[in-house]
Amino acid sequence: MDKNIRILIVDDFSTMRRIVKNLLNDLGFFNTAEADDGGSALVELRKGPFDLVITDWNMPGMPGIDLLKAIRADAALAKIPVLMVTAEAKREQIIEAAQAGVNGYVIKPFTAATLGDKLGKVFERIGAAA
Amino acid sequence: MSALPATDAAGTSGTEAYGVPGDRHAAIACLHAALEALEADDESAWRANVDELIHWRTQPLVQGLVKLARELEQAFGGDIAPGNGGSLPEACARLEHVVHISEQSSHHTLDLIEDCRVLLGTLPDAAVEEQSATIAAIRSRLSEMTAAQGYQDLTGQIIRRVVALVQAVHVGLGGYAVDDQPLQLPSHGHGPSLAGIDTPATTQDDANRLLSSLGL
Repeated sequence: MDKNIRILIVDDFSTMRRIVKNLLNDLGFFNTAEADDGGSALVELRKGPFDLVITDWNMPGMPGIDLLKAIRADAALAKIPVLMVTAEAKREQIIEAAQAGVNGYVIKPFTAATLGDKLGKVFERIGAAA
Repeated sequence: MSALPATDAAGTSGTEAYGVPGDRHAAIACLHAALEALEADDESAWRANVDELIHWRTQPLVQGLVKLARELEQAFGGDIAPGNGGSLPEACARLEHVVHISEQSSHHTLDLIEDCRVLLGTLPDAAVEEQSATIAAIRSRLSEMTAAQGYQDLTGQIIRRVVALVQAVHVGLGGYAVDDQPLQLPSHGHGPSLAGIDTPATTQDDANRLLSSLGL
């Protein structure tokens, strides 16, 4: 796995952005950028390029599910894997995210091991698709 | 005609009179007056009597709302000085402050965890296998400590939902008895599930099963 891939972390809570960033660092990924909602994430993504988006769902402004849909609807961004990391844990929400094309779903609170495991699965699929 | 409770034929006091059988005489008098006005084609007297009946009937609801607002303000520790409608916004500010101090505290903990990682990195390469295993175990626990700081995000989301509710109550009371629409909370999701209040949250295992059934 290329540890230099560029990852966008999207969450309205600065604590959670830092947690995800630090856990990525622990796994050897240092090339990260941050955004605090879907709207600012799209601005960053269009400046691009990014190889992975890790996003929260519940954010003021554009929520993560709309960001996911916007990414899948934009030809230039559509192929970027998206990992949802969220406290939104209703069955219908997970189905909605899956139908919108999410690549992984981590429910908060999560452990470092769970995040590492889910990232590994996303990377496996990127590797398999490449 | 003067206010119904004050002219209550049964002689009950004003506050007790609302809606109790004791002032049915007053209600009967008011209805008779309304009927007489209608028969006499006296539009203004008819309206005045009907309005008075409506006012009399809705007074307990209005009083209940005012009482609810005061109880909410007291529950949040606000002052109930007359004309001071600022304690609900103040309650929101208190809750926002809780989010802020827990955020600061979380960042401080994350600072210390990062320091520990740097300190571990300054140790000379471990010659003994057990020692490097211990260092790896400490690193793994530091990662879990980092993830555990996520409580700040979860509690913060719950507190912000309560803030939105209190703000909606505050705005709703500003136009009481005029706007009978239910309070609307702006939301982009449900937030963390609370045991005993919300339907139980999907666990990561449930989510994994669901995701694999969806081909993920």
